[in-house]
Amino acid sequence: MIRRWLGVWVLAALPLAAAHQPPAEREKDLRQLPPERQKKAQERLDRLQKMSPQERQRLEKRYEEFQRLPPEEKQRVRAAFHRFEALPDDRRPKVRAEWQRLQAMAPAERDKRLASPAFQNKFNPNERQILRDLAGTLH
Amino acid sequence: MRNCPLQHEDSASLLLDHSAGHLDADQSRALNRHAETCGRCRAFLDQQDRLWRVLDAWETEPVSFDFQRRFWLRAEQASAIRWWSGISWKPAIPLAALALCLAIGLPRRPTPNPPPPVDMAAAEAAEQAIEDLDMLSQLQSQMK
Repeated sequence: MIRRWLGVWVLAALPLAAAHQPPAEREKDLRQLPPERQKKAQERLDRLQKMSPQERQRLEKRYEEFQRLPPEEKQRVRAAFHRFEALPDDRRPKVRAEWQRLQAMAPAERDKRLASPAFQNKFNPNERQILRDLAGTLH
Repeated sequence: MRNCPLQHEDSASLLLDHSAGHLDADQSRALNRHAETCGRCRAFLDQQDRLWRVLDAWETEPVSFDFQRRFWLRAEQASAIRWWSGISWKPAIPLAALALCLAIGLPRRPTPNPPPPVDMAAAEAAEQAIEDLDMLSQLQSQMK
């Protein structure tokens, strides 16, 4: 069993190793999890496998950056992402557009924008927190 | 919730009370939030959930209407032909019946499960890695 998991543990060094595993082997590994979580993990892997080589390359780079974050920072990004996904349909595009805008800014400019009245008025406290937590990640 | 309940014997009962539905809404919410990030607690709660579902689904055989009458008749017949027929066992029979019902009819308080095997910890670490990759790929696609 441990040997089978090595394929997934390699993920730390070669981030997309799990997505490249043969389907049968992957299913064996995921069987350790409760059924509901198995299904979710499998769906995620299937999505990852559908990525183009260029997208995968970009993702590997981002995953490496993400792995270098301290644990509490990682947790903050995960929580912000889940809160972003839970936003109402009409608010998500607005928050996404602002996030894209923030990503394109230099750190000092981004801080200025986050403190500006325009930003404060445009987004509610939850949205502002999501944007603060996600800003600066994934350049 | 600052500390993992599974690491503190005193608060481990929180998980059991949660599974049995004995916690108030605030405590339940806090525990659920913690379990979202703690694989061991989540695995524990999943196991408890399955256990309680089994117990909920389990029903005792209904006792037939004339069970008591036949029971006493048999008891009296048996006592009439035995050498100890002079002794009245009647007071002990309801007690024995009650003890039997308690032994088989009541779900016991769940006892803490042993910690999950090492493979499970590895499975959860890999699950997290897959989740992170998926999250990053979604964020990447949002940036287009």
